[in-house]
Amino acid sequence: MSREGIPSKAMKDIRRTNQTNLCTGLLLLLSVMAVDAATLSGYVRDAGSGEPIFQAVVVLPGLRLGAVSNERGYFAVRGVPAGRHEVATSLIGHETYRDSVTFGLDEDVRLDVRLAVEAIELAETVIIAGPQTQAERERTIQSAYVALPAIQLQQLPAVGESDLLRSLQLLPGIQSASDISSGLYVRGGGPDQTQILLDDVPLYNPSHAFGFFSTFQPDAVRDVQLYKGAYPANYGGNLGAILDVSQREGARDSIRTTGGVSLLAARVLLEGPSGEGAWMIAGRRTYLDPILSALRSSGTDVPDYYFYDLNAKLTRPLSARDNLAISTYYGRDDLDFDLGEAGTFFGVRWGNRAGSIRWTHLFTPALFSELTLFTSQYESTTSASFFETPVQFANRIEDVTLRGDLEFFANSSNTLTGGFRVTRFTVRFDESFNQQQQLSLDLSPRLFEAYVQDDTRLPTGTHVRFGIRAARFSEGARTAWMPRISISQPLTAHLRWKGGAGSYRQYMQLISTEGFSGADYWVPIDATVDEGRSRQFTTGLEWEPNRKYKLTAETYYTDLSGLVLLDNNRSVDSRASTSQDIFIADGTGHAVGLELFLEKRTGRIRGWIGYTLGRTRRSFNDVDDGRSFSPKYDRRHDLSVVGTYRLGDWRFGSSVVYATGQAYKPASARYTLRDPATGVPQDRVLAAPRNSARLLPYHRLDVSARRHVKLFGSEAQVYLQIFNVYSRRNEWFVQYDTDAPETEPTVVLQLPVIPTIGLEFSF
Amino acid sequence: MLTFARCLTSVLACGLLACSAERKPGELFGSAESDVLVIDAQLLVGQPMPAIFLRRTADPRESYDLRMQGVIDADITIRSADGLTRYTADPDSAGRYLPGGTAPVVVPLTEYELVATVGQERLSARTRTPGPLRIREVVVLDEQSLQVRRKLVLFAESADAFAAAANQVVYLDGLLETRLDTAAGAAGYQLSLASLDLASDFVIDADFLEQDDYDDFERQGSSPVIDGAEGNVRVPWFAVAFAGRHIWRTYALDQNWYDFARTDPETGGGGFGQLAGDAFQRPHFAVQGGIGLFGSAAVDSVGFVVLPAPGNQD
Repeated sequence: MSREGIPSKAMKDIRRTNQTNLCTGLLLLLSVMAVDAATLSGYVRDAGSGEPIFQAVVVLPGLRLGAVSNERGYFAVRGVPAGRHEVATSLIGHETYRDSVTFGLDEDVRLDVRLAVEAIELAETVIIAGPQTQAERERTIQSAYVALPAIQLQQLPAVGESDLLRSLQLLPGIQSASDISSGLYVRGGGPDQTQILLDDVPLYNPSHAFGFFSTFQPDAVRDVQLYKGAYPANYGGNLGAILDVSQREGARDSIRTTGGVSLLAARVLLEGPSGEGAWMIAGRRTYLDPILSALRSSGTDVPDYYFYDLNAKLTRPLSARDNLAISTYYGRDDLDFDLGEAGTFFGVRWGNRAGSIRWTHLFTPALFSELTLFTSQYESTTSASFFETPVQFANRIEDVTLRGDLEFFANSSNTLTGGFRVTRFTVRFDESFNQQQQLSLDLSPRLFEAYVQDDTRLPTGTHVRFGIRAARFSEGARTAWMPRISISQPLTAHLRWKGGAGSYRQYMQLISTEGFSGADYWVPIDATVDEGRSRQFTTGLEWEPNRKYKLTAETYYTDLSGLVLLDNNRSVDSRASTSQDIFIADGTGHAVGLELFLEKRTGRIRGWIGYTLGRTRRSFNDVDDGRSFSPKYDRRHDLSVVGTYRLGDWRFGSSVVYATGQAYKPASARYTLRDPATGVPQDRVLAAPRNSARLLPYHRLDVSARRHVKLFGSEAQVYLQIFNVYSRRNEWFVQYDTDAPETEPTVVLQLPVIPTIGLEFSF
Repeated sequence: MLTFARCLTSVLACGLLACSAERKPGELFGSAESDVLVIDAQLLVGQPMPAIFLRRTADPRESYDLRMQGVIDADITIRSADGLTRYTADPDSAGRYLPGGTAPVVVPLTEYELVATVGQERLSARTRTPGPLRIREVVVLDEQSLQVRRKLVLFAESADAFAAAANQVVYLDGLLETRLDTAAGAAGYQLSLASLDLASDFVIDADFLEQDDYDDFERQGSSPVIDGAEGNVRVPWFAVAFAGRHIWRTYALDQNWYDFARTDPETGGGGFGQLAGDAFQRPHFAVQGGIGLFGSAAVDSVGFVVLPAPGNQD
């Protein structure tokens, strides 16, 4: 814990900055709102690791003033009258820090707080952190929002490796496509409608092993923010949801090592102090390839496959007002299946590279700014040859973005934010067959975005966040204005109403499968088709009778237009070069649902019950004569029950999921037609309207057991996880066979029971 | 705590009890669309009006017998500007209809309308035939440089093109490419490859193929539709499995045939990223009062002999 007074005057600082800063207009506006009193500001960090703490509540109880720390752990409380005042900083799961601070007239007081994890929590993880005081209740005005420390997600039962995205699938409103998919289907939106950010940098394909794992190394992740809908104006680019993942900065007190080994992969994370900053480097790699190699040497045809991740981050304070953070991620998947003869092989490789440099600067204690330069690249290449007939798909997307954000803590009840974002995309997509170029896209669109947003807390306890985001996309010279609002209103001491709405646009489209994700392809929309558009509305009640329980009921409605589907009916040699050539366009849709979420947050048994009643529909003029249909991930009912139980050094976990079966196209008739080009009669089945039937309901029970042990004097955990305990072979998809007089449907099933063991350690 | 534990247990138990475990027979089919008329008629430019088929769909839950699906009492006509062709049922094959009298030749760039009446039911469809198609040349390209190694002899150049030395093609050696004079009015193209020597051996040989795989190889196959905008089409070697004489036909398609073939799951209409039955779709039928295909095409063909690759001739 440190404490530092800054002998500068806020008003003078702002005026001086106004003369030199490019954002003069905004600063003038902000300066008008300044008040003539002291300002308390600083960073809230974890006492152990020094990691910044997001959404910690800093209050001056006697004055009814307060603030919430932002993503970098920074806070500012303006309007503090001169005198000695008590300051309390708190966050559930941490010991509350209290201090008495003397404020002079117009003085800027710096208070950097280190919050210690509560002793009772050290041996146990909170499942879902939540507010406990009135002030904390207000920290999250955003509806459809979930903030989770990564460690909570690590504790849930998993298959093979702990996985962030798979764990999120246990929350209401989030569905998975299959057992082998870590793709997020949030409130009726496809995976492409959820933007996934790692340290603010978008990742285009956050999956390994064709979607079996996500790219997020559990040890390297600090926290996760998920906006399931109606997300605020400081985010943009997707129609549905935002998953914002922050990497750890690294320990600031000592060099530490964390790692783990499972049946599939090993991982290690090193972290330590760097001056007054910190560094972190983490790596993970599968060791499937030696196993596969051994199988191959025994004469079995098996592919060669591996994946790896590298994460690194360096954070250094440059001065009392400036911080620099450099963050990078590199991940790769490589599958080779060379059959060694007849010119036949199959290979897929894909991966993301991302890097960012972020400069954080305090113009004044109340004016926080960030300037970030980042780039994200995604490459995917599928190369195959079947009996000397080569086929290749290659996609490369790269964006370079400059982003600036300003956050002005105008006063205790008002925070203004604004910013801009300029992105240059470079996209190539090539497809060739038998050495003939077929599809060739080469685009370099630009996206310009800006936003302003105001958070206001009224004396009644009402919290309003209103913002507007503007975007201009160079392809088709499109301009969009996207207003967004969130309102939080206390109804009683324990009951709160929340609502939100927003307008959204999406200019990049994902070409993928619904069954699994792997070598996905991203292409921008060009001037030939409309961009994706959505309007989202969400409202709900949050009831928190005590610290132990919390019940949330939320409804949502999203309408969508400008949707596209990959046109699989185009001729195989079509020289597609525009979006119109590639996609079936002008789709519309909607998603509506009710989510119930009951949490138990304290005690030996903790967990939640989440239930979603949902309906999602899509329609395209060129599909089934415009009839609307349920996409595969539409689930009428989706229930998850998650619990952990602590008993001494043991921790047990379980999760049960139940969901309506996925929609599919059944056969409705059998008939015979000749292949017109050969004249050979073919028995066929006629497809019923798209997704007009349902597979059997999906359900599964996973369990895990962990035990704390000492390993060479260091802390460690050994664990056993059993995925799909009763080996329910859930249905995946249906194929029809017409070889026999009886038309035989074959149901392809999903994964059986899979036990895994592993070890995690830290020293 | 105990209350919560009971609640968890109850929800879990109810959830599991609510789930049925197994499928009942016939559950995986949709609402039956049985007894729908199915027309199967393709006109080829320059050839006599063909035999056509009229059948009905069957409920997929029931055992399928093609002979029972033929419609035997239909009135079928095909009309064009040149006249009317009336079809009569083939007494030897239920559902097969033959043109009455001397079958007229199908004329290019002409509209034909088919009408089939069965009691109160009426099925109709129209097609506009494409212009004539001519294969200009067929060449073997070097697979590295893509330079022409040699030209094959066309049927128009020799009645016994199969015997020509240029038409002896070694399996996996070079790229076979057809160059077309594109047909007027063609919506697209489709290829078929037929192995004529029904007793010939496989040229395909790979340890990773099982006997079942070999059993699945057919001597006739067709391609997905192609645009053929450049006027050149290559034969993928994976389409060739047998040694001996082969006929490679190129069809210039009318809109109906093109739309049907590009949307027909059996033809493997294009695309990638397909799984979980996404490719299983209803083909585009340009038929009123039923389903099926009433289409037309112009066709040209080339013949060649496939020789086993060196080292694989035993």
